[in-house]
This record gives sequence, structure tokens and C-alpha cells, in this order.
Amino acid sequence: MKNKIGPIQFAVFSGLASLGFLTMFTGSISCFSMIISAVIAFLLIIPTLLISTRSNPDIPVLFRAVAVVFVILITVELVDEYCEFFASMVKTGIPKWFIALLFLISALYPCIKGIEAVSRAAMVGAVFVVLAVALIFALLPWKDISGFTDIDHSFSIKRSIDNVINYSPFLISIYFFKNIKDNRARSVTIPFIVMVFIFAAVMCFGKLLSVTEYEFIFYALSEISCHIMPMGFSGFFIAFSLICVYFTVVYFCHSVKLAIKSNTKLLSIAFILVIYGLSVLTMYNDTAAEILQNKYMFIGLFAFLAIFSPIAVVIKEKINA
Amino acid sequence: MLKNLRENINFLKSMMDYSVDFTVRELVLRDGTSAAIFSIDGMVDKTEVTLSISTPLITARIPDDVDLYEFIRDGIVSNCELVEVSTYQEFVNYISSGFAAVGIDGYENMLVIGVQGFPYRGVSEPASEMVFRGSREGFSEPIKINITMVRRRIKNPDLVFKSMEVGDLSKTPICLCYIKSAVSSKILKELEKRLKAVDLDTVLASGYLVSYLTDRNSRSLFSTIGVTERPDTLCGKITEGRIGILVDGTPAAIIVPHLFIENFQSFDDYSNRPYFASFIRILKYISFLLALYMPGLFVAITNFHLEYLPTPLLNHINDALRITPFPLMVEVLIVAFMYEVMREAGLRLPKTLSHAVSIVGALVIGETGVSAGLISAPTLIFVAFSAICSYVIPELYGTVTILKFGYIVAGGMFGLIGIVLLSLVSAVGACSLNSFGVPYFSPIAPVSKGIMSDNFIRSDWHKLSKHKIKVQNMTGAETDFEK
Repeated sequence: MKNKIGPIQFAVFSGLASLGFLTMFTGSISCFSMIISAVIAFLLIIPTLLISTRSNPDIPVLFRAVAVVFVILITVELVDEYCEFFASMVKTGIPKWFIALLFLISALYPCIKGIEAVSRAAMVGAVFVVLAVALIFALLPWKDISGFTDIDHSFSIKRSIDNVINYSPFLISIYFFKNIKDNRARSVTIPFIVMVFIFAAVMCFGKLLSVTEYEFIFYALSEISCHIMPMGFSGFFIAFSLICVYFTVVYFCHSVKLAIKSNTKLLSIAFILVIYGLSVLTMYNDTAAEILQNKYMFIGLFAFLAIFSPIAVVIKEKINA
Repeated sequence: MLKNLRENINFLKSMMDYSVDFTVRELVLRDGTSAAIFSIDGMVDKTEVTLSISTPLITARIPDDVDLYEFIRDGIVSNCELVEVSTYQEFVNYISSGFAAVGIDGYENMLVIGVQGFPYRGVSEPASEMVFRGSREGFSEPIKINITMVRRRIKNPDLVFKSMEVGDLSKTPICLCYIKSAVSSKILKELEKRLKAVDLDTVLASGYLVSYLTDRNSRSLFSTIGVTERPDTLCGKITEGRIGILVDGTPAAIIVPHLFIENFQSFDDYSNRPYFASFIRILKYISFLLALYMPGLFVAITNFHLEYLPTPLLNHINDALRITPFPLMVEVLIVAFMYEVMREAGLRLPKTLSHAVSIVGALVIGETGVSAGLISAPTLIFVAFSAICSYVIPELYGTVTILKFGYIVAGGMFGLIGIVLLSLVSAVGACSLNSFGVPYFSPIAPVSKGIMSDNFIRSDWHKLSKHKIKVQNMTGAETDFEK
């Protein structure tokens, strides 16, 4: 009974955390679509989590390969979102390909340092967010929101599914993390979960204040901050929040490395080069973007991994027994 | 050593290359046997040598049926610190530490007697770790005095001092200090292994050892080795399972393992009321962030993200920057660099001259630079305030200074993106560090028990005493160094 309660609790927790986590990448969504996406995420991850309670699940090679492809594509999507965020919203005038290059060059060092360092740094990023929130809401009002964009949003289930897709690498990665030693698994995973939970809390706060009409939720919060603070500190908020976005991407990079049971520097570099090539391709070639960022393909891959790989693991174990 | 005293004297004199401070007082005992007292001039207390060694030797009546060496050792020399040496190397080690040696003709061994009398600085208040409420005692240079100061504070047989020697040439005595019941035997073993691997000729200060004590592949701006000048701080640390290293000639102790959060803890925190101590802790964390990010963010926001600035402030900054000749990033770099030059100059100069440097810095460069239009006032304010903030955490001053320049360049070239990405790299770099197998960012990341009780806030002693956790038991600690 105890073994079953653990993963279910975790599934519920992860589903709730997705409420906040999703919105960072996919723009503004309503509470309705957030709940739908959380429910879908919750349902999809149950088989994966049940299997992941086994001490060392032997995942078949086919599923590892699919996981690698899936995570690469998701990371390309996230890099694209991130570059869009900076290039179009912050108005730095820097081209997207250059931001992606900077972003991925910086990703090399964390990738080489290892999953534990990245996970610990994610925790530090979460502390930064808390500090930034405290700074913002402690200060006095000021108003000038010319730098922020107001974009309409829709109540669509399709949008919710998009969110599930963007959130899914984290869920899948938990399954593949079982090849980390047991005594380290907790110290690797817990900081990341704490970070996600803090995001969720911040997101809920944003929703409560009814400021979802802005394209990015952190911009929405920055907008609030502009009303209630004197100057400049909204920059803190965005800067430190994005640290966590980055950690997420690096985390996914590592999940790929773990999926193929390797931890070499060469592989990290190769992986990042592939992501960069595909990111630039999707940025400047619409046909490639349509193919590589096809939501239905993502859904297919995610469902395949989340549902069929646990079944395959069980079958393989029975055959081996 | 040789049995013939004359040959011994000649050999030792030639070994010491007839050094002027190497003194040999030759005596003839009442039974006619030759003896000699060896010492280093200035290292021994001459009155003590006369009263406790030479006078008793000369005046003692020596019975016929006794072994002369044993009789002198057990019946004549009254000092409590007495050791027998049989090799020249041991002999040199001891007399270089202020011992006097007694050689007797016909015997291979010599007696070395503790009669140290060299001048040293007394116990004084540590300059870099001042406290308002607490002991005013700081470590001094002689290792024995430092050992005494620690022993006086922990009256428990579990407190162990283990002596070692480092430096092939200097033979500097060092002393490991730990609580037997609290320390991790694996960490202790690893520390001894690393100290034995020190291949330096001379160790003139504890800082020489630091790079030999860091974990493998941890070339980082953050130091994983702690240093304190206060015996009470060392006592507090070793009760948590840490190990102190006292180095002869250095008025500071090294402490391992050392974690990031320790940079924000001070002895006063535990003397003050918890509310005020917690306020100071939070103040320190905020100061750290301001010291690190303020100049970089100023450059990034002013160059790339003007929407973050309120219009009146933006106009004000624009007015100030319009008259300065350099790009903002270059201007901030120049001001920050000038500040570091003035700080270094003020630090090394005599006090009377350092006041002059302060006046030149504040009035001539600051005031005149702004009025001449070479530097903008906002730049000066941000850089100066960032510098003041960095003094709140003196242990991290070096790290903050280097990183601050990095953030200025990153912010000036790529705006917030640059600052975000550099933050990521430095955070991952710092989080990947271990200090003797304990994660450097423990107990924040990974999260350990008692994370809130003594980190961001300082809880009341009632709560603190319940949540005391040994450093080797923190989450993520990997003290199996054999792998």
C-alpha cells in the first residue's frame, strides 16, 4: 500500500505544480485550461510513476531512443520560446539565433558539471525568485508600463494540451532518473520539485490578482511590480526567474544523457550542437518549424513514452524472470 | 648521534654552518665528565637555562654507582618538558623551536628541555573579526598559545590536538584540532592524506595550505576552506564535526569543511537576540546580491532595458550620462577599477598616508571627476554603494569583486540576457563544489534538515540546540573518498 501511495501522491503534486510551471513557456492561459492540463498530466504520468518505484527499471533501448528524440525536440521548442521571449519582448535588438547561441554556449558548462550541480543550482534559483518577490512587493508604487505587451488569450483545450507537452519532459525524466543511485536521487530531485512548487505558488498568486491578460506570466507579475514599486526591480524579477527557465532546459539535457546512460563531455557538446542547429532551423524555416514543432507529434511521442514504455518494462522483466 | 661529545659539537657546528645564533655552552660536571648545552640564541629564556639546567648540572653531586645520563635526566633537570633525541634531525627540529639540548660525553642520546623564551605578539583582539559581545581574544602566532586558547574553552577529553609537520625546508608545525566524538573519521583521514601530500619547501602562513586542501577539480572563485582568527569561532565549528588546522606562525585557523552559508554567519549572531541576529543575516544576503549585481544591472538596464526605469529617473540618468565621454560600460569598469586601486593603496600604506589616499579618492577623483564631466554621478553612486555592500561579507570580498566585473561586462554587452546566463554559469559552478565531500551549498541545495534554523534566520538557542546537525550528516554529503 505504501508503495502505491508514494507515486500517486507524487502524481497529484506534480499535476498541481504544473499549474504554475506550464505558463512560463506557453504564454497566457486561463485557469480552466491550466486545470485541464494538470488533469491530463496527472493521468498520463501514473503508469510511469508506478513503474519508476521499482529499484532499477530496465528500460528497453527503443524507448530510450524515443526519449532522446522527444527531449531534443522539446528542448528545441523551449529554446525557441526563450529566444522569442528575449528577442521580441525585452527588445534588446539582438537576433534570435545569437540569443540561442549564447544560451547554448552557457548550457555547456552546466551540462559538463553534472546533473547534481544543476539540480542544486535550481534550488538556488528558487531562492533568488523568493528574494526577488520579496524585494518587489516590499517597495513603493510607481507606474509606467509602456514596456509590456498585452496579448489576448483563449480558453482552448488545445492550448492546455500544448502545456502538457511542454511540461512532460520533466515527468518523463523522473522515470529515466532511476539509474541515479538511490541515496543521491532524493538530493537531485527534491530541489527541482521545490523550485517547481515555488513557481506554482507565484503563478497562483498571479492568477488571483487577475492579471492573466499579459503574454508571459512573469511579465504580468513585473507589471504588478511596476505599480507597487519605485523602479527597476522588475528587472530583478525577470532576470532571476529566467535563471530557473534555463535550469529547466539544462535539466532536460541531462535527462537525455541519463536516458542513454552516458555522461561524457563530448555527448553534451554534440547534444547542444544538435539543439542549436535545429533551433536555428525552426527559427528561420517555417516548413522545418511546422514539422519539428508539430504538437500532434509531441503528443504521440509523449503518450508512447508515458504509457507504452512502462508496459514494455513490465513485459521485459517478466521475460527475464 | 655520536658518543663522543667533542665530535658531536664539531659536527653540529659544521652542520649549522657556524651560524652565529647557534650557541654551545661547554661544562665540566663535578665528576669530571664533559657536558654541553646547545641552544639557539634568542629562542631560549637564558635565566631559565641558567636556573634549571646549567646551575644544577655544575653543582650536582654525582654518586659513583649510577648511570650518569639517567641520573641527570631523572634527578637533576627539573623542567616538566623534557624529551630524549637520538638523531641530528630531531635535535635541529627541537632547538629551532626554542628547546635547549644537553649532551653528555659518552652517550649517544641528548636531552632536550623546553626553555622557550622567544619574543612573540601577545593575545590581542582579531582585526578582521571584531565582535560587540564576546571574547576579545584572537589567535596569536605561536601554535602552543593557540592550542591553549582552544583547550581553555572546551574542557573535555574528546578534544584532540594532533601534531603534524609541513614544509620540507621550514618544517612548520601544524596541529589538527577536532572533537573525537563529533568528527567524521573519513574526513579526518582524507584531511591527513591531503596534508601529507603537501610538497612545499616552506609554509610561512596557513594560506599556503589552502590550495592543497580543496577537493579535486574545484578551481572556483568560491573558497571551500574557512579561516577564522577567533578561538571561540573555531570551538563552535569543531563541535559541529569540523576540523581546525592551526599553523605555527599564523594567527588564524583553517576550518574544513567550509560551506557557503558560513560566510554569512558571525560570532555576534549567537550573542545577539535572535530577531536582531536574523535581521542582520538577511541584511548580509541582500548586501551580497547588491554588491554582486548592482553595477551590472545598472549597465544592463540603462543600455538595453530602459522600460524598467521610471521616467523621472530615466531622464535624470540620461542627463547625467549625456555629458560623460565614455560608453556606460567602460565608465563603470573604470570607476570600479579605480576604486579597487584606491582600496589596495589604502590597505598597504601606513595609516597616516592612507587617510591622504582616502581624501584624494573621495574629493579629487570623486567630486572633481563628476564636476569635470568625466564620470557621471549615478555611476559613482552605484559603484560606491556596491563596494560598501561587499564589505558586509568580508569573506566573500574577493569573489564578489571578480564576479562583479564579469557582470558589468555581461550586462554591458548582452543586457539582462548576459547577466542571466552568467548567473547560471556561476550558480552551477558554485553548486558543483564540495568541501571534503559535503555540498558547498548545503543545507540550501540540497536541502538538509534544519535549513531554516541557522541560515537565513538565526533561531532561538532552544530551537538551535534541537536542530544541531553534524556537517558530515548533511544531505548529499559523500565522504567516501576512496572511490
